[in-house]
Amino acid sequence: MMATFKRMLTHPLVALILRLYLAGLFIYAGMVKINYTAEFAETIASYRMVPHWAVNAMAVAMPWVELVSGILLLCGIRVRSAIVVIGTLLIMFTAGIAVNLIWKAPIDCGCFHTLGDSISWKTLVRDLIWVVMAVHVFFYDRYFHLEYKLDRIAREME
Amino acid sequence: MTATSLADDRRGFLRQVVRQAQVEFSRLESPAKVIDSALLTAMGALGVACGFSSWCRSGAERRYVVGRGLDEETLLAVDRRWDDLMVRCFAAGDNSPDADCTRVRILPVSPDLPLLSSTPALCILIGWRSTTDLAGLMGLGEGLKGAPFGDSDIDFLYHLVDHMLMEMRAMADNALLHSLTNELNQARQKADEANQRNDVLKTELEEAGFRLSGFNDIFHELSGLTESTKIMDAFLLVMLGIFSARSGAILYADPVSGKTHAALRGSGDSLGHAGPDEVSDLLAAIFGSSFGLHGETSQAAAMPPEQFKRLDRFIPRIKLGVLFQIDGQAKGVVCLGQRLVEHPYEANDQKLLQVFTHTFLAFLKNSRSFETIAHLHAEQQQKTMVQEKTVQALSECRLAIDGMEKAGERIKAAITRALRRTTRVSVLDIVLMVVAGTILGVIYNYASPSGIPLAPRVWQYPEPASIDIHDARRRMDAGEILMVDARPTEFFNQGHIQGALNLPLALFDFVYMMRFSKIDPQRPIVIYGRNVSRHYDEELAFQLAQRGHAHVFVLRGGLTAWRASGFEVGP
Repeated sequence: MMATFKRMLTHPLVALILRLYLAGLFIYAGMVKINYTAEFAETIASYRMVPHWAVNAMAVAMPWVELVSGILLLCGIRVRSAIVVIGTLLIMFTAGIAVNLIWKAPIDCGCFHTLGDSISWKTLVRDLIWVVMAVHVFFYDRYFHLEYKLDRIAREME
Repeated sequence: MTATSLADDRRGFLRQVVRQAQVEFSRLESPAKVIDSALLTAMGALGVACGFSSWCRSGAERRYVVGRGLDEETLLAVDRRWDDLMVRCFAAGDNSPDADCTRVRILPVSPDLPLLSSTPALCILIGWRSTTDLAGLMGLGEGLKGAPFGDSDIDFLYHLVDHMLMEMRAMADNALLHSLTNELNQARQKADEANQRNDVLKTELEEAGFRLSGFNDIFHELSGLTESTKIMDAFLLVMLGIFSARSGAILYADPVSGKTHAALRGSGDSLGHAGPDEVSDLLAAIFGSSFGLHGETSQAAAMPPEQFKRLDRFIPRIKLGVLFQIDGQAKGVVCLGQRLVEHPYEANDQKLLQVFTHTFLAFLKNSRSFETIAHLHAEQQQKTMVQEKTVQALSECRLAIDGMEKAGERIKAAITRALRRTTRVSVLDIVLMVVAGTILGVIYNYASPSGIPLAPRVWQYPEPASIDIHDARRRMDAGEILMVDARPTEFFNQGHIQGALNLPLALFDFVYMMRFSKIDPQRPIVIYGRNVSRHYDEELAFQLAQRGHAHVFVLRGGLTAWRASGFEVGP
C-alpha cells in the first residue's frame, strides 16, 4: 500500500504535472513583475535582506530569470538546472518571508502583485509547498523533455 | 813371237778391253746393265763359257742376279747362298791396307766352297763391295781352252770389276744426287707452296689487322655514346676514315619510336639534305622493292648496286652499301661514295663494311635499348610524380577527413557532454540562466519607459548635513526642529520617535502637499529612517532640499541609536 502510494507519489507523471505547474507559476510571476520594476524594487527593499546597492539590479534581473527558467522548465530543457534556479528562488523567498514574519514586518509579499498581498504564515506554507514541488520535480521528472529528442537524434548520428 | 810378247799383247788387249768396258759402262743407265755388261766383257775377254754376276744394296733383301751359260737353279743357289759367299770372300783381309783388296776379292772355286760344287763349270768367284752400300758377286767358269787364269787375267778382272764398281758407285752417287735433286726440288716446291700460303696468311693477317684496327676505332669512337644519332655520326666518320671514302651516309628510321636520322658526311657541295619523311619513304622503297632483311633479328646485308641510284641525291656515285635492321623493326642504310685514293674498293671491302656494320648494330641496338629504357624511365618518373601527387592529395584528403572526423568526434563529444548535462545539475547552466535573465532584464529596463536606475539614487545626491542625537533631542524639546520619519507608513505605525511626522517617499508629493507645504522653509528639519536595503532619510533630505528647505539634517545613527540612547519611541 505504502509502496504503491510511494510509487504513485513519485511517478514521473506527477513530476511532469508539478513541473508544468511551477513553470507556469514562474512564467506568470516573472511577466507580471517585468513591467513594474520600481514597485518590485520597493518590495525587495521592504524585506530588508538585500544591500541597498543591489536592490535595483535585483529588481531588474529577477523577473527575467524567473521567466527564462520557467520557460526552460516548461520545454524540458535543462530541467534540473532550471528547477534548481527556481527552487533556490523559492527558498530565498521562503526564507525572506519567514524572517520578516519573525520580525513582524508589515510588508507585502510581492510575489505576483506588487501591492495588497501581505505576508503571512499561509504565504510561508504556500512557498514551502512550492519548494517541495521543486524537490519532487528535481528527483522524479523525466517525461516530455525536448532534450530527449535531441538525445535520440544524437544517438542516431553516432 | 815370244811368250813375253804374247803376254804383253794379252795384257795390252785386256787393258784396252778394260778402257772400252769403262767407256761402255759410262753409257749404261742402270747397275743391272753395268754388271751384265761387265759379265759379258769378262766372259768375252777371258773366253769363259759361263758365269754370273749379281749385286745388291746393303740391307736390301732383293738381289739382282744375271747369269750366262748357267741354269736357273744355279742362279737361285747363288741367290740363296749370297751371304755365305760374301762372308767367304771377305772373311780375311778386312784389315788389309790394300783398298782394292778391301773392295774386290777374287777367290778360286775350291772344294771348300760346297755351295758351288754343284756347278763345276765355275772356277773363280769374285766378291766386291764399296765402302758404302754396294756389294756384289761374280762367278766365272773355266776358259774355253781350259787353261787356268793367269795373273794378267786376274789383274784384268780386278781392273774390270774395279771400274764396274766405280761406275756403279758413280751411278749410285748419280742416283743419290738425282734423288737429292728431286728432294730438293720437292723441298723447293714445298717452300714455294709455303711461301704462297705465307703470302695468303700475311694477306689474311693484314686484313685481320685492318679489321682489328677498324674494330678498335669503332669501339674507341662509339664506346661511351648512348644517343643513337651520335653513334651513327661517329660510325660514319670512322668508316670514312677506314675506307678512305670521299663521302658517306647513314639513313635510319625506327617506326616504333618514330625516330629518323640522316647522317651525311663528305666533301660537301654534292651532299643533299634529307627530311624525316623523306628518309622514311626512301628506306621503305629500298627495303620493299627487291631486297629485304627478314626476321626479327638484328642483321646486316650487302646492298644491291642497283639500289645505289636511289641515294644519288644524297651521296653521288655510291660504291659500297649495306642494309641493316634492328630487331626487325628499325631499318637503315650505310653507304660510302668514291675513295679519296686512286685505287678502287677491293672485293673484301664490301664484306668488311658489312662486318663493321654488324659491330655498329650492336652499339645501335644498345643505344636503342638505352633510349627505350630512358623513355620508360621518363614515363615511370612521370607516373611516379602523378602517383606522388595522388598520394599527396590522398594524404591531404586523409588529413582533411581526419580533421573532419576529429571535428565530428568533438561535435559528438560536445553533444554527448551536453546531453549528459541534461540529466544533471550544471553550474554553468545555472550561471547561463542567471546571466541570460540579467542581460534580458537590463536590456528591457533600458528600453522600457518605466525603467529604473541600476544603482541607488542616493549615490547621485550630495551628502546631507547630519545632527547628533542628543543635540537633536535638545532642539526638539526646545521646539526648534521638526522631526520627520521617512520610512513607509507601516513601519512608522509599528514605532517612531514621539512627535515625529511621517513622510513616506512613496507618497511624498501627496503628504508634503497636505502637511509640509505650510511649514517655514527656514525651520530646521531632522530626518531619520533607513535600513539595509534603503536610505530613506537621505532620499527624503534631498527631496526636501529640492522643495526649498534650507536646514535639513539627517539624524546620525537613526532610530536604532535613538532607541539605544534611551529616548522614548512610541507607536
